[in-house]
Amino acid sequence: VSQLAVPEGVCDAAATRVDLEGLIQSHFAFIWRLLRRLGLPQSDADDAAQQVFLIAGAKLEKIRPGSERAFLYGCALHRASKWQRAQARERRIFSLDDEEPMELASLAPSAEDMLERAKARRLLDALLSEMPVALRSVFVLYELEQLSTIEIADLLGVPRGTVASRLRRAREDFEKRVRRLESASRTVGGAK
Amino acid sequence: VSDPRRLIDGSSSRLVTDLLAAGRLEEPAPELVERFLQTAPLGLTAGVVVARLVSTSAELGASQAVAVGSAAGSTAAGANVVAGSTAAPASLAGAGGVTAGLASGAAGGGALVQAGGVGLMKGGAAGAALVKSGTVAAAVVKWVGVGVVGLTAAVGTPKLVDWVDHRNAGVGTAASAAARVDATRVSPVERPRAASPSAAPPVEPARVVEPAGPARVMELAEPARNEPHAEPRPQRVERPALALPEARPNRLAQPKSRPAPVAASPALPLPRPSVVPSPAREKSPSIVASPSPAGLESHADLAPIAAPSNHLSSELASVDRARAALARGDARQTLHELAGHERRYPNGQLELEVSMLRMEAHVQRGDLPAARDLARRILAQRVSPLHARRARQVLEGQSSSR
Repeated sequence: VSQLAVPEGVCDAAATRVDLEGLIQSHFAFIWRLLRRLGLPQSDADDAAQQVFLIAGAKLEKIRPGSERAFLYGCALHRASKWQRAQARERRIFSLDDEEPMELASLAPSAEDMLERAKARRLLDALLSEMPVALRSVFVLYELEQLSTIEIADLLGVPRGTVASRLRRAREDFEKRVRRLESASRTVGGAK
Repeated sequence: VSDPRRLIDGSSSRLVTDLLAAGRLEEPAPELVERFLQTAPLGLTAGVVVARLVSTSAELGASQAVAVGSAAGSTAAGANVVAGSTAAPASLAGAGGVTAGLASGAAGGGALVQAGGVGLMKGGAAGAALVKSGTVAAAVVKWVGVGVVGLTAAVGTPKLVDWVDHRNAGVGTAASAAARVDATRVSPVERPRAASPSAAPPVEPARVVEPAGPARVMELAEPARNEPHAEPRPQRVERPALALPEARPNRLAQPKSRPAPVAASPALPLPRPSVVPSPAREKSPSIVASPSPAGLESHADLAPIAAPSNHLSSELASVDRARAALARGDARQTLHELAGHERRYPNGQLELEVSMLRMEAHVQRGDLPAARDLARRILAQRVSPLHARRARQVLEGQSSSR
């Protein structure tokens, strides 16, 4: 118990705070959004994003300057992957923001509804949830977080060609699903 | 080879760009970020203390595992003491138990120390599980030892007996074997020697013991060598820094929490003493932040988009600049950016964001009448519950978002 008197790291708390705050302010929203787009419901994304930054805070001295974002993204991807595995284990059907699972068709009642941003986000998540994880990560990082393919390759530890290939397949997959949805929307609209 | 044009820049259908824009505009609840900013350092500090406490407990548990391992080996040897010189393999089994106990305790402690403030309860459970594993390993070793010694005694393999006789060099009687086993149990000096991997002889008994001891140890020690919870792969951390494009510094470097200046408000409550802050679990901020089903139906800002889709990313960048200025506390620059934005995008798609930012800028510079006027206009629209809540707060004279 006497070892607890002066725990290691406590004396660095003030210095840590500055850097950790900077990290949180600069990257929290992006990490949180990445987790959301990788399938985590909002409450889980809240927790996972905080865990990512606590890990980063505990390892600040080991993170090379300039590679903070790569570290955070790496943690976030790992978190998301862990969450997805847990979901698969629990055989829990994908749900959005803890709401009832939805059928894609029910999200395509009319063109007007598509323009509602919150609903569009749910639709986006539903579409992404059907995409394989490898494609989904690349798609989210490129199309939503607007990283370059070089950055993504570095982040995921795969060749740039692989990123380009996954991106192409992900886009085809996404656009195909959207076209199907648009077609369903027109059908429903016409029926009305 | 240049990157392909992004879908959100208009290289796909309108619906695709709308969907992607909706994804890009989502933000965590400002309360979440504010509270986390306050509690994260506290969580880290407390995490170190608690992790140390847990690791100390794990070490104590490891000592118990060592004792159990040693006792198991002794029991195995004692049970087979009639086998004479074949008690030696049993004492090796005890040594295996000791090794497993020591290594599992060390692995548990190391992993828990590195875990810091994250998953402390989980860490404690892991430590307990590891200690338990050490005990289990010791028990396995015990029965393996019993089996081997019993088999040896029954079959009386000449080769094994010869080897044991050779190794024990005179420890050939039942009495001397028992004395050796007792020494293993009580002498701390004997333990490290017996536990050393080099002490394991390359013959059948040792090979039988090995999987229960060292193999398990390797598995248990793995988390301690890796990153905490094996989160990021170590080589990723060691890689050269990413060459971030200069073209998007604002988007990638600026916080998205709208009322960022409010984070410094003295009216903020004290951080919770919990080590791992998880306000989402409390549901209050999350519930407030998440658009309710009713709110989903009432977004007046989701009117049909008049501007071409390929304006959206530049619109976003423009709003981000204003948001960044607000986060810096530069209300004047924020208003300047917003005025420029409205000139450039008279029919822009981010009208609500612009209004909210302008309201916050007025609050920041102390122009409460203007802020309230804007808040009234925002409330007159059908906006999301989150926006409406903030507007009402401003209308009621609260500068903080809480």
